[in-house]
Amino acid sequence: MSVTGILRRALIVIPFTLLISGCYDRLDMEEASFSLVLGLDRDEQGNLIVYSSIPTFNQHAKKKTHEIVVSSISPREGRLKSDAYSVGSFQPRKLQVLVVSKALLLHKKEWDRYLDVFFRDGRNPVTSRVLVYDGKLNELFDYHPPDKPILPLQLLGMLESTDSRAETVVTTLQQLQRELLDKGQTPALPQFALDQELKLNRTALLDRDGRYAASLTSKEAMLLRLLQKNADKFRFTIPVPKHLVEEPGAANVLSFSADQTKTKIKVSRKGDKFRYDIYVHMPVNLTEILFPIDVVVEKAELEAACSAEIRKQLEALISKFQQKRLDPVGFGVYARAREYGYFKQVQDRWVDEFAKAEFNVKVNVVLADIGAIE
Amino acid sequence: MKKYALNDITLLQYIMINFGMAVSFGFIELPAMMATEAGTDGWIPILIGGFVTMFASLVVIRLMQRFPEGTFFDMLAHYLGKWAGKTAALAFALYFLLYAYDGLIYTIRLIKGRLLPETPAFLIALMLMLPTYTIARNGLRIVGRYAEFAVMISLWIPFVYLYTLENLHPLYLLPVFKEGWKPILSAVPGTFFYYLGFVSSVILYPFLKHKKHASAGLVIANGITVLSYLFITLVCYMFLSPDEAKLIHQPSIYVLKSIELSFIEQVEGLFIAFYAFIFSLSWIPPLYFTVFCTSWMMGKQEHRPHLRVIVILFAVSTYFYLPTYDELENISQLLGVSGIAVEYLFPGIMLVFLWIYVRLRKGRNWT
Amino acid sequence: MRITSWFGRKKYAHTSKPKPYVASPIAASEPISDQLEHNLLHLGQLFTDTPDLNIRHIPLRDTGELAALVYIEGLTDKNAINNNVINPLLHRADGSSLSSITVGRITKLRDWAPITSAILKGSSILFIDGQPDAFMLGTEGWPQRAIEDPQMETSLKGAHQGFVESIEQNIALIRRYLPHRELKIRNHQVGRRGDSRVGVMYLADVAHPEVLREMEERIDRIDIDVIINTGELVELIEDNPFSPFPQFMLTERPDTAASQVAQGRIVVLVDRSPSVIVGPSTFTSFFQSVDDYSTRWSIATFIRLLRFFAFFVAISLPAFYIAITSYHFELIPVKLLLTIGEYRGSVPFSPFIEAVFMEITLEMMREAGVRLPAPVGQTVGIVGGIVIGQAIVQAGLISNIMVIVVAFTAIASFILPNYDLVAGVRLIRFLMMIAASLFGLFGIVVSLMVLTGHLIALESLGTPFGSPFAPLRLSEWKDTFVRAPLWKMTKRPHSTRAVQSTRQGDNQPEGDGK
Repeated sequence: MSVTGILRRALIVIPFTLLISGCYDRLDMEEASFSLVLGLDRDEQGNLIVYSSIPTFNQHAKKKTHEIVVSSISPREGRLKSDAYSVGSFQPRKLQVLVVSKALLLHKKEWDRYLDVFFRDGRNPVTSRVLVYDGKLNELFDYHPPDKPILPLQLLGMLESTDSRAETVVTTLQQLQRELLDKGQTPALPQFALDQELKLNRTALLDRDGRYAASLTSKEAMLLRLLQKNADKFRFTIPVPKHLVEEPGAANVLSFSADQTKTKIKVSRKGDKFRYDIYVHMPVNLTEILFPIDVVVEKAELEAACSAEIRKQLEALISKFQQKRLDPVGFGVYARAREYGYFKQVQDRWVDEFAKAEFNVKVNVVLADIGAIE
Repeated sequence: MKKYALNDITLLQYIMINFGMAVSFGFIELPAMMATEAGTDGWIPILIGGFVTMFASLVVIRLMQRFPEGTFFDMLAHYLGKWAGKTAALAFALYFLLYAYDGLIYTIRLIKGRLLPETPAFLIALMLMLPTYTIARNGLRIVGRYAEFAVMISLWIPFVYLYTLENLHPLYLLPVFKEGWKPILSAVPGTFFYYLGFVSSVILYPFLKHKKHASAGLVIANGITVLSYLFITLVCYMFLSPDEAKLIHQPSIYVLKSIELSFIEQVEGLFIAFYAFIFSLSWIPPLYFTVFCTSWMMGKQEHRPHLRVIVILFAVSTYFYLPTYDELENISQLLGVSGIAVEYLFPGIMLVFLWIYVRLRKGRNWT
Repeated sequence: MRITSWFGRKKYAHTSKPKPYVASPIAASEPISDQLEHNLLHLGQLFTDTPDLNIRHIPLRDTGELAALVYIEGLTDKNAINNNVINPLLHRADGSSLSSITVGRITKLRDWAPITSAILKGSSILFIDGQPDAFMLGTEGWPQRAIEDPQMETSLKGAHQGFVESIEQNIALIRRYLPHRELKIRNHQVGRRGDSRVGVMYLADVAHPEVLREMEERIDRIDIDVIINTGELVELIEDNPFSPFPQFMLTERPDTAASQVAQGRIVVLVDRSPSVIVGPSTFTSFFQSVDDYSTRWSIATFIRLLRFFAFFVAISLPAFYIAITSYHFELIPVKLLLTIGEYRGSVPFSPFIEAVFMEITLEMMREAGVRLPAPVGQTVGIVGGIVIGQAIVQAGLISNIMVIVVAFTAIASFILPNYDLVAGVRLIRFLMMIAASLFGLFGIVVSLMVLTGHLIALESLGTPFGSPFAPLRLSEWKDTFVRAPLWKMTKRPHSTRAVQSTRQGDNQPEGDGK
C-alpha cells in the first residue's frame, strides 16, 4: 500500500476511534446539582457561611429543593476553613440569585472577593441578581411556605414585580462589578427581609469599598431610578400644600402615574466645586385625589405644587447621598465625561468631592391627563 | 498562460477570505487589548491602523500587478530565477503555517476555556481538523466559497449585540482624547496584528476573476474589518466602565453574557460555538496557502498530500503540547512581528526593488 | 478501498472512449438469407425455449410467395397485427402486398442482430421467401398502466398526470408542455441485456452544450447488464455517490420536468421507469415544489422559509436537545429548566440514549408504514401514536420532552418536498446526535462545518451544487428562500449554465403598483 494510501486511511480511522472516547464534559442536567440561590452570611466569629438551594428533580419528592449549609465550627478552624470553603465549590452554572446578608456587608472586609469565581470561570452566569437580606440567612433558607413556588422563583418574582414599579434597583452580578469598579459611582442593591412573608421594600446602598452604608425606602428608590434614567414609569403619591385643600380635615394627598419621564443632568465646574443642573420633565396622569379640587381651574397651581414636592424630595435624597458620601446615581460618570482633567485628579476621593458639589434641581410636572372624572 | 484559470475565485470570495482571516479572533481580543493601551479612546487607533493597512494592502496589489498571470513566486522566479521563488515560497509557507497555528490554538484555548474545560485539547483539535481537511482539500475555489458562506451565516452576530443596548452607557466614551494623542498613537502598531492576512493576495491575485477590482476588493475587505472592530470596541467601551475594560478578558463575550431572552439565556455559549465558523477562517485559508506554497516549491500540482501531513501534524502536536495562555501570547507576538515584516514592509521593499531591478536590466540591455 | 474517500468525488475525465457496443454472442452480426426456411431455422436456433415467440406463415396473395410473420406475443398489439398486417396480407389484392400493410413504421432490416433485438422489443418481423431483407413492423404494444396522479409528489394545484413506464408516453407528456422545435431528444442505449432506451431531453438553444456533453458522456460510459429503474442510473452517473445528498433531482411529474427543461436543465428519461432525472440540480432545487409557482408568491415564500427552517430542525433538533440537556443546560431559562428537569428526573437513560432510541423507533415506524398495504398501514400509526408515544412516557422510560422533540423532528422532515433529500437528512441527523453527545454544541457546530464544507464542494454535472449560496449570487435568491413574483424572475438560474439567460420580458401587471 502506498504511503498516501495509509495516510488517507489514517485520516479517516484515527479521528473516529479517538472521538468515540469523548464525553469528558458531559453532565446530564438531572444529575448536576446546580444551585439556583446562593446565600453568603457570617457567623458571630466572622466566618463565612455559604447557603445554597438546589432543585431536586424527582417527581415523588414533596420538597422541590434541598438546602446545603457550609460553615465552620470553631473560630480557629474557621480562620483556616473560611478560605477553603469558597463559593466556587458549589456549582453556580445556573445561579439565579445571590443573597448577601446585611451583616456580611457590614462587617466582612472585602466580601466582594467572593464574587471572583463568577467572573473567572467562563461558564458561570453573570446575570444572577444580587440581593441584600436583612437578617440571618438560615431563616430564609428554611422558609418553605406550602403555597409558594420554590425560593429562587419566589425571589425572582418578587424582584420583577418590584422592579416593574421601579421601587428598587435591579442589580446583576455584572452590574455590581461595574459599579464597584467605576470610580465615579457606588453600588446599590435591593434589600429584602422575612417578616412572616418575604418583603422587598428597601434598597441598600454600598460605599466605595462595597460596605453597607445606608438604605433607601421604596419612594426614594423610585427617585434614584429617575435620576439614574433607567426607568421612565413611576407612580407617586405625594402630599400637596394645605392651601390647595379647601375642605378642612381632608387628606392633602394625590396620586399620579408618570410615564415618559425625561431627566437631564448637566455638569459644570467652578474652581474645585462641581455644579449639577438636573432637569426633570414629567408628564403625569392623575390617578387619585383625596380632596375636592377643580383640577381644570387650578391646573397650574396643582402642577406647581407637584413639581415643588418632587423637587423637594429629590433634593432631600441628593443631600442624603452627599451626607453619607454615596453616589449611586453615578454623578461621577458625568463629571468624568465633561470635566475629565479635574476628575482624574480627584477620582480616588470622588465621593468627598461629590459631597461638596452644588445641585440645582428643576422639576416640571405637566398634567397630561386628569382622569375619567372631574 | 492562464495557469490558474480553472480555480478562479469571485471578488466577493476574495473579500471574504481577506476579511475572515483578519477579523477572526481580533473581534474577541481587540477591545481589551486596546483598552489597556489607550483606554476608552481605543477605537481611534483601530481607525488609524485600518487606514495604514489599506495603504499597505494597496502596495501588495501594486506589486502583484507587475505580473498578473502568476503568483508572487512565479513573479520572483520570472525575474530573479527559480531559487528566489522557492525561497520566498518557503518563507511564506512558514509564515502562513504560523498564522494558522496561532489561530487554531487560540480557538482551542477559547473553546476549552469556555465550553469544554475537561475535554483534552487534542480531541478539540481533531474535531476542528475534520472540516479543515474537508474544505482545504478541494482547492482554493472551495475555500473561497466556504469563506463567503461562513461570513454569510455569521451575519446574525451584530444583531445579537443589539440586545445589550439597554446596558450601554455612551457617557463612558467621553471625553474623546482623554489622555491626548500619545497613548493613541502608541497603540496603533498593536492593531496591525489584528489586520494581518491581506498579504494572501500574493497567492490569490492570479486566481481572481476580475483583477481590475482587486484593489477595491482589498479596500472593501479592510473597510468591513475596520467597521466590525469599531462596532465591537464601541459596544464594549460603552458597556464596561473605563477601569473595568482593562480587567476583563475577551469583553466581546463578557458583554453577551448580559443577554437574557425568554427562550435562551447565557447566549455567549451559543455565540462561542457558532463563532467557530469565523474562527475557522483564521486557519483554513492560511493552511491552504501553506500547502499551496509547499507544493509550488516542490513543483507539484497536487496539494493534498501536504495538507494531510500538516493536518495530522496539527492534531498530533496538540496531544503532546498545547501552548499555555502566556506561550500563546508569545506565539502571537512572534506572528505580529513577522506579520509586520512580511505584510507591511516586505511588499513595499519588493516593489521598489523590482522597479530598480527592471530599470537596471533594461538599461543594460539597451546599451 | 473507496471507503476512505467518503466525501470524495470521482473525477470524470473528459477524454473517455465511447463504449463499444457488444451484442449478444449468438446473434452475430450476419445477414439473413433469402430463403425463408433457412431464416426460420436460424430463428429457431436463436430463440430456443421461447414459447411466446409466434411465427405465422402467410401466403402472399399477389406473388404467391410464402412469408412468415414473427413476433412475441404479449409485447405486441394483437389488434394491430390482426387488422393491419395479417388481414391485408391475406385478403387485399390491390398493389403489392407490402404496401397493403397499414402500420405506421416499416423498416428494412438485413442483419440478425437488429432483427432479434427488434423482436424482443415488441416489433414484428416479416420474412418473405426469396427476399434478402426482412421488414420490421412497428406493432409494439404491451400491458400498460394508465396515467395517474404521481404517487410521491402530490400537488394541490399542479397537473394530475404522472409519468408512466413507457418512454414514448413520457416524452409526449413533456412535449405537451413545450411544443417547440428546439426541444430535442437524444437517444442512448444502456445495458447489455436490458438495453434500455435512455432519452436525453433538452432545449437546444438554452442548455449549455458542455453540460449536455458531460451528461451524455457519463451515460455512454455505463457498461452494465440492465438498468431496472432510474435510481440505478443516477447512482452510476452522479458526481459524488458517497454523499448523503442527492445530486440529481428525480421527479415523476411532467410539469416539473418541463419547467426544469425550460429553465435550461437537462432531463433524462429512462424507458420502463416512471421517474426522470433532472440535472444539473442545486441544493435549493430540492426545496422547490411545483405548487410554489401556482400559489400566491407571498404565501409560497412563507412556505419556502418554513421548509428551510424545517430542514435545520430535522437535521439538528435532537442533537440540540442532547447538547443542551447534557452539556449546556445553563442556556435554558430557569423556569423551562425546572420543567424539563422534572420530566428528565424520572428517566433512567441519558438524553443521548433516549434520543437514539426514539429516533430509531420513528425510523422503523416510517419504514413499516411505507411497505405495508394501506389498510394495515393504519395500524402502524395506532401502535406508534398510542402504544409507543403514550405508554413509553407513562412508564417513565422516555421523557415527555423527548417525545415532543421527536415528533417535531418527524413533522419537520415531512415538510420537505423531496424524498431523496429527506433520506439524507435522516442519516445526517444521527451523525449530528453522536457529535452532540460527545462534544455538545461544539460538536454540532463542527458537524455543521463539515456539512457545509461538503455541500459547497459538491457538484452536479460539474456545476456547483451549493449555488446560489456558495458561490454566492444574491440576484438569484429570488427562487430560493423566497419565491419572488414570477415577473421578477426574468433570468434563468445561473446554476443551469443556460446559454440564453433571459427567460421572459417585463410581465408585471399594469396597475397602481407599477
